[in-house]
Amino acid sequence: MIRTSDALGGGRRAVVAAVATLPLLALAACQGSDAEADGGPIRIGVLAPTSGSVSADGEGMVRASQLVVDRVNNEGGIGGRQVELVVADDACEAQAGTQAAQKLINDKVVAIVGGFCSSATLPAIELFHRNGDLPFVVAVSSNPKVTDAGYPNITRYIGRDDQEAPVATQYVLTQLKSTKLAIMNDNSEFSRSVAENVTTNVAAAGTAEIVYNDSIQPGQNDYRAALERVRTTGADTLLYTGFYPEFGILAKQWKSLDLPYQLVGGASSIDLSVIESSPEAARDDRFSIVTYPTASLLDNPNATAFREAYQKQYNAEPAQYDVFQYDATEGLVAALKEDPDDLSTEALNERLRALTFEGVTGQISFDDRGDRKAFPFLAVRAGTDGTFAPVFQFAPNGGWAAVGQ
Amino acid sequence: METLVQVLIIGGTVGSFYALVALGYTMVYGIVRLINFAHGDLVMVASFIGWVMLEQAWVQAMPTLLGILLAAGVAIAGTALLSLTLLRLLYARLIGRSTLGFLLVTLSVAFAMEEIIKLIFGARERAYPNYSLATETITIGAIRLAGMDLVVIGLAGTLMVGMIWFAQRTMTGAAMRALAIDHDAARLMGVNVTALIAAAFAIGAALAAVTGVLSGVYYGRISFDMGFMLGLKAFTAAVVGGIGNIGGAVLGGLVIGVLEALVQGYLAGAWSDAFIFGALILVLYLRPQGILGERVAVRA
Repeated sequence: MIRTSDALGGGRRAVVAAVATLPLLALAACQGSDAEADGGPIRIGVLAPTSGSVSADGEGMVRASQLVVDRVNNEGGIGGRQVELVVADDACEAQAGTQAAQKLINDKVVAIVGGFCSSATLPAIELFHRNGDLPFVVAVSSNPKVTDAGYPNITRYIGRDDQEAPVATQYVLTQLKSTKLAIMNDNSEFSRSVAENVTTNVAAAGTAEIVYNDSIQPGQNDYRAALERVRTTGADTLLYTGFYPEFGILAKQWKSLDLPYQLVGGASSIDLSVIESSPEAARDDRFSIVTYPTASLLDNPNATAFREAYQKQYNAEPAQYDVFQYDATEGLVAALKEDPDDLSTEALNERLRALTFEGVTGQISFDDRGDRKAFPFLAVRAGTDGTFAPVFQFAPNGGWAAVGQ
Repeated sequence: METLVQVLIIGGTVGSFYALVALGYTMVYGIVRLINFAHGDLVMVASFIGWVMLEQAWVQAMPTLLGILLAAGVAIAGTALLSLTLLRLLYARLIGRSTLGFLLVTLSVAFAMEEIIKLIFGARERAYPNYSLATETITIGAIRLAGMDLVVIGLAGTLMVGMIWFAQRTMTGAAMRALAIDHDAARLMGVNVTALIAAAFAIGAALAAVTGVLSGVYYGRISFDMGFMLGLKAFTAAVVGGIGNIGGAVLGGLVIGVLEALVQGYLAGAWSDAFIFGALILVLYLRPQGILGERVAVRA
């Protein structure tokens, strides 16, 4: 269903956007390139999927950015000017992403923060690049292509997919001691690419055999037939590289069938709903999720302060990826504050790359592609308090180790 | 062998869910010759009504089974009421006047219901309480069954038999069959057309409600977007089985469920939707009226 309704929704938006942008384009052509009207608010674009299948995450991102902006405005704004968010919905789709990016360009934002689904982020990047390298602070899109194009206007706050696969492979081989591995993806571009990447890494390590490598169709309720098939292959571990809605179902059904192999979720499989729908599975000591350090897992003063502020403002727990959007917005604000009188794209891009700060998600600094210099991972399972707790951690220079040893 | 049996039972369960929804399509189609595309989303609305009920402290204080039955009862009543309201306000004036209009209105209602539920409950998935009876397993040799599989399959079977009995052996059923053959002739014989159309919508909605709550209790997760694909597959099931035919809806549901499980269990999971809709094309090519459907004579 997700796909159908999105397609229809996208079509509707396409017409509206096409009609709406015509006069704007004409207007933009007349106005020239001066984006900052003096004294008016500084407008920051937020590119996030506020409709479609991952709209919960998109809504969370907007909230995370709003949290930063509200604080900055309460403290008197940036250089005396208030900050205003302009939200554009990319619906997690390429076409809608392009339209959302165009909307932000038309709205004359000084920079953009956001980007959840890489499928929507990638076309947006091209558009921002072509429009004078408008600064784009990418929060959650982990596709390597985001930074591989080498554009100067990109900084990214989350890790790269090609970091996840080697780390997950190493985890499965060294900590779980798998020799017969099953890999399952959800048939999305992202999930397939992680699965392929894991396959390559496992082959390179040479200590394990891949006995199953297949997709499931997302949006179904019952994956027991696929889980049964994994059992018949004699696998000792199943690694799932897809998203959490299906992983929640897989975990529950894996537990109810009492299957003899370990279950591991990839970085997109983490969400509290997995524990909610199957607490027994998530507590099982053969269950774990390899993950970025997301909202509920981070244990540092910044993260605690973030969770408390978020809770206070929205009376809800932050979604897992909100921390990256929060840090990304903080980074952007810091770069804006450095010299409020020079908000030209060149100066901003330079300042964004040069940032170094301690964020909610740890130490933040960037390499010359715009990727984070060091990116940690965790392996987690449900603890006794009903939330995820780390059981293994991965340090970029030390590899995997059990937590607390 | 054990795996095959197990996969077939899983397919039977999935198929029973499709069958229950397909029965709703068939009921309405049988009488008004129109497809109600909002039907799948009634399942979604029902599962949310059931969830709200089951989250109440006083319901949770009740014995589990009683609480679920109560939630299902409220969901059935709520969904039937919703369906009848929609029929009265929106659908009734289109029935017999505009086939395309009806189709578009039901599609719009489907999306509207999704958006409204999303606005009320948010985009996050919701979890039904964890019932031990939903994870109860039965082991026969090497075959592991969830007790709920048998409940779901049994319930679908019972409802199907009940519906056939209703259509063949009751006055109302006879009137519905008459209506399916010729609206005007039925009306001249004193059949209350409006009331029967309402009954068909209400029964369809009730079946959707049973599906919604059952699916929530068994699979544990519900979301605002769970209904559309389910509805589309159930519609496929109804067409494959022969739309308008009660046994056909159940057969179609089972065929699609088993096909889905077999593809997942033996071929490549990514292909399951391709197989299902491929099957639809194949059946329609070989038997345009569906497996159990009767050739519909062109009426003047």
